[in-house]
This record gives sequence, C-alpha cells and structure tokens, in this order.
Amino acid sequence: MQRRSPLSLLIDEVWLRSRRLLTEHMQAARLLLPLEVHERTLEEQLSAGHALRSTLLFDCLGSEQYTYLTSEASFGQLNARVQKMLPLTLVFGYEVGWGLSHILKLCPGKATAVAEACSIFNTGVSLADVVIDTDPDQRERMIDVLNEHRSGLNPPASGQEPNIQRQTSETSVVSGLAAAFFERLPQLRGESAPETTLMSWIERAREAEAQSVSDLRELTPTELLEVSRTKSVAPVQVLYHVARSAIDPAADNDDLQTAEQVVTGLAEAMWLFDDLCDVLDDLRRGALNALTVRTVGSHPPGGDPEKARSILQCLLSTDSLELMIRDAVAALASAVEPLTATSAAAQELRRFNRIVRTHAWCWLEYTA
Amino acid sequence: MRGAGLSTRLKATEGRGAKAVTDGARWLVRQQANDGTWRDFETLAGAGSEWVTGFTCSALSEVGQAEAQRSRGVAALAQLQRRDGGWGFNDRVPSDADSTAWALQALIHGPVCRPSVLTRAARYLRAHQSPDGSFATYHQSDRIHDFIDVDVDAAAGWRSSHECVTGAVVKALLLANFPGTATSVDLGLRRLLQLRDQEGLWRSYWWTGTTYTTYLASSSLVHARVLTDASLEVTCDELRRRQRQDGAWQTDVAQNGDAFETAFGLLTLLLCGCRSCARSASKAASWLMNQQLPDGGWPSGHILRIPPPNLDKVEEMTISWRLDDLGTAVLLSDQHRVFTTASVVRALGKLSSMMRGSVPDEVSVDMDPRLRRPPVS
Repeated sequence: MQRRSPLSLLIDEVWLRSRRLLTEHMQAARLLLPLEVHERTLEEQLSAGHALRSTLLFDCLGSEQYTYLTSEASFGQLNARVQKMLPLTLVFGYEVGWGLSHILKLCPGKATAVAEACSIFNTGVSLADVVIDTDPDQRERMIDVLNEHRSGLNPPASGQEPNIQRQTSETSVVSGLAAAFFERLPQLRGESAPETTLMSWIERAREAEAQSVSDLRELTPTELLEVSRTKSVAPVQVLYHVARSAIDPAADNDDLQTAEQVVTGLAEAMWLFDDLCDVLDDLRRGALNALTVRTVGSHPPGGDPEKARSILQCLLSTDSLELMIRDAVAALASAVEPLTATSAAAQELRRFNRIVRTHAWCWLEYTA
Repeated sequence: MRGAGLSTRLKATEGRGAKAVTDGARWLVRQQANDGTWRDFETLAGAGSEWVTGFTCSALSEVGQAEAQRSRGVAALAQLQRRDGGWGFNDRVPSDADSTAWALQALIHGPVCRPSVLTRAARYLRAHQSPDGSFATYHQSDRIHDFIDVDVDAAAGWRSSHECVTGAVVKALLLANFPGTATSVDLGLRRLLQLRDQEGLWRSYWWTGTTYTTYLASSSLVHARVLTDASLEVTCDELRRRQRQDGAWQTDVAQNGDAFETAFGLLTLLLCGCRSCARSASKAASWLMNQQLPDGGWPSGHILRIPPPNLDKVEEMTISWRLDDLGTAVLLSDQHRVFTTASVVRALGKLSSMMRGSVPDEVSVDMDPRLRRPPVS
C-alpha cells in the first residue's frame, strides 16, 4: 500500500510554494522594493501607525474604550495579533485616503480629513472582521452592531446613540469607530458628493461580512467567489468614495480615472493576497476562501483532515495556485502603475507607490 | 511630505514615556549579534542565546520599533529550531519548554515562518505537560541529565513542573491558538488557577521574584477570560501592598528595588487598570524611567536562580545561594542587561501604548474610569 504524505508536509509545501511563487511574480513585476527601502518605509509606517493609535483612535473612542482596546484584555486569544495589526491597519487606511486625496487634488485640510476618516473606517472594518471570523460568542452581537449602524448611514442626531448596550467590549469599540466615522462624513462632502454610491458600498461591505459567516452551502461557486470578493473589495471602495465625496464639482475626469484604477487594482489585490495567505488558516476554520473555491469549486467545512488533505493535494497538482498568484500580482501592478510618474510634482504619488508596495509585502510577512 | 495631520499626531506622542521606550529599544538593537540573536546570562554552559532572543523579540513586538532587527531575530530563531521542535538556553544545551515557549511567543508576532515550525513547537511543548496540567522545563527525553553529566534521578528537580514555566507555556500556546492545543491549554489554565497562592500571587522556581510568574499566569487567565475581576483585584491588591514607596518592587536579593521585578509588577497592574492600580502603575513607571541609564539600558539585578538540578522546591534549599558564580545553587544577574532592559521596554511600551506616550504623572487621569472586561463565564 502506498504511504501518504503527512498532512503537515502538505501544509508546508503549499505554504512554501505560494510564497515562492508570490515572491517570484512580484519580483518579475518589479513590485518588490529593495530590502533597505522596505525596512525604512515599514519603520516609518509603524511609527505613524502608533501615533494614529495614540491620537486619532483615542479621539474616536475616548479613554475607557481606548484603554480596553490597547490592553491585554481585549480580543482574548487574538490579543497579540490584534495589537500587532492595529497600527498597520490604522496607517494603511490613512495612507490610502491621503494618496487618493492627492490624486484627486484635494486641499491639504480636506486630504487630512479624508485620510483620518479612511483610517477609522479601515480599522473598524478590520476589527469587526476579526470578531466575526473568529469569535462565535460575539459574532451575533457584532453583526447587530453593524446592522445598528445602517441607520447611521444617515448620521444619528446628536445624543442619539445606537441601541447596542454601551459597555466595554470588542463590539462597543467597533460601534465607537462606526459612530466616529459617520460623524465625520458630513464634514467631507462637497456639493457633488456621490453620497448614494458611498452608502451603497458601505452597505455592501456590511452585507458581505454578515453573509460570509452565514450558511453558504446553497451558493454556486460564482456566488461564493462574489461573497468572498465583496467582503474584501467593498471596504477599499468605501475608502475611495470617502475621498471622492470630498472633491469639488470641477474635478478633473482624468484624476478620477486614475484614482479608480488605483482603487480597483488595490481592492482586487488585497482580496487575492489575503485569501492566498490565509488559505491554510481558512481551511482549518472552514472559512470562505477564494483559492479553495477556485480550486475545488466549493466551500468545504473546516475540521475535516481528509477533506483538507484532498484540497491541499489539488492545490499542488493543479495550476490554480499559480493562476491566482498571477491575478493578484497583476492587480497590484495595475494599482501602482499610475503611481510611477517621475515629475517632481509627483513626489507624493511615488511615496504612495512605495507605501502600497510595503504594505503588500507585509500582507505576506504578517499573515498566518 | 506627510499629511500635516500625521506630523502633528507624531509630535503629540513624543512624551517622556515614549522616549524611554525608544532609547531602550535602540539600546537593545545595539546589543544584537550579527547572527540576529541576543545573548545574556553567562553560565557554565555559555551565555543564553535562543531563550534570550525569544524573550527579547517578544518584548520588542510590544513597542513597534526596531522591526527590522526583531524580524532578523525571529528569522534566526526559526533557523535554530531543533529536530525535536524545541529551542534551548543556547545551541549547546538541550531544548527546554521555557525557551520554546518564548521562541513561540516571538514567532507568533511574525514575520511568518513555515507552518510546521509552529506546530512542531506546540507538539514539543505539549510533551512537557503533566497530567495535572502544569509544565516542566525538561522532559526525560531532553536528556538534560546527560548534558550536565549526572544520573537521571539527580536532575529530577529540573524535570518537575513549575509555576513559572507553566505560565510561559500556557501563554504561548494560548496566543498561538493552534488547532489541537485547546485541551492542553484548558488544562494548563485550570492548573494555573490552582497554583495561585493564598495571597493571589504565583511563585517562581527559576526566578528570585514573584512578579514574572504572576504576570504570565494572570495575563494568560485574562486572555482566556477565566479570571474574574475580583480575583484579579486580589492579585493586584497584594502587589500594591508589596510595592515600595518609591514605586519599585524588590526581591530578597535586591532590597532597593529591581527593574526586572518592577517591570513585571507594572505589566500585571496594567491588566487591571482600576484607579488604585493606575496610581501604582504611575509610580512604578516613574521609578523605572528614573533608573534608565544614560546608554538607554537598565541596570541588571540577581533575577535568575539556578537551583541544584535535583531540587524540586526552592523553599527546601538547605545551602546558601552563591551570587554570580558558575554552576548551580547560584543567583545570576543578566550581566549584559539585555533581559532586564527587554522586560522594562516591554512594560513601558505597553504603558506607553495604553497611555498614548504620556509621562507617568498623567497616567492616573487617563486610566480612569476603570477598565472593564467582558463578563467571565
């Protein structure tokens, strides 16, 4: 009888192959920064992320919620990972907002306001995602929080709190961030604000979060991929539409097209990179993952070693892994392509380019 | 050019606490060897390296600085993993559960390494668990007796389970959150609750003080949400009772206060965050900052205890401990100050992130109202 490979070897092989191929394809697409540039940029980003945590996040949450979030009591077993992720999440949202504002030629005051709103939104969505994906005890409450803030799409009147019980917990932190985000939106809107588009993307992001943990057994592979995609893409589209809501009516159409290209590529890249890096963890937890769906055409439940083995073998014996890596790298290349301008006036765009590439490498380095 | 808002925000966090952490982290960076490791505690077996590197990387992850150096340390650790899945005091000494727990705590903060590195580490750790849930430093299969050239029975003390090792391992397994470790973690948590002494603290075998183990045990129980507010308050009340007027904690051998002991006392108080704890945390932080040396590091004390290998309970020691000597029955300081500095950087880094880089005098204002955790089931 033929001996089968131990599951741990298959897991290692998939992990190694996906990282090797990602690195090779990113190198070929000239998306990898020289190591010293990457390290310096990451250090700057972490420093800025810590500053945003101590100031912007505190302003949004107040003393009690902020102290809880930054303490060792929050997020239970995931505390260390969340604390590690928090500054990068804050600064990524900020930089995307700032970079898009620059492309859209917003004045510095508005650009800062957009960047801060994006930072808050990105952090809120990421924290909600952690709870919904990993904490069954708080999942329902977190989805309730998101539902409560649907009415926040039209910001609550002053003093009118959402109905969620006010207490210090992960859900109340997310609720606080949602409230802070919606409070800032009216200050950003220009006269031609495409308000309905922004709101519809927020709604899609909320729906996708809730749907990703619902019963997915009846969905076709195409529908599964759409749920998975929307969960990642919608929050990035929200960042873009926050920036877009602040433009004036005379905004240059070329600028809008450039911003859309950056955002579309970035959103797609984030989705695919995330699912490539998370595939092993998602397989274990039975979480929806685009690579699994693309490989076996279904969403298998977690906790079944035999099923996991057959999916891993499929990943290694077909070209689905490499095809998804090609798509991911192509999307990232498309996002940074407009940011390679060389004129002196485009210094800020080149900085945005460097930051996006640094964060993309971090998705690989810091995702399980 | 950064956003004007971001520059302002960066300026706003340049408080005294943040500067102490930055200077401490920079000092640690200067101590890193070319191979990415840190070294401390000179012993007959040489200086500690794998264990010290795990501990230091874990501390640096708290401060968000020196990320490149921390990454190099983590990469070095991943390369140094033994065939048995563990890490040791250094590359000459057999693997042990305590060093492996700290390596694992460093690895879970990334950069990511091959999945089997982590699963093998977890398997190695689980093999050191006693049926009662506690963890021993060495298992017989580690063959520490061969390394120190004694009979198997003569190393029984080092193979016994101890609170300090149990705290480190449970915290590492809990935060790593691996498949297949839940039962082991539950058992370990239950044992930690039983091992708490009547005063609400946890004793140490390898350490001269109590705050290190108390922090590891209580933080694990807090992460797992199995420690009630009332129980944590008992622990913190006792710690505050033992805190000196100047804000430090002392040990039997460091009666003027010890930076390592104070760092872990501070970390434990930060788990609670009630008004009284905030005041005590403020005093502790202030004392620690006053102790920082001009080079950015902190002075070492006699923090590590190497009991005779046959001794299971240090209270039963019948001979005197020797200070900074080679061999066993000794109390060692971290001669290179890495271990103490990493501990203080971790504590002030945590405080700084919770208090937004403020000076300690501002702490009590910021920590009020008290931090409430979700109800414990």
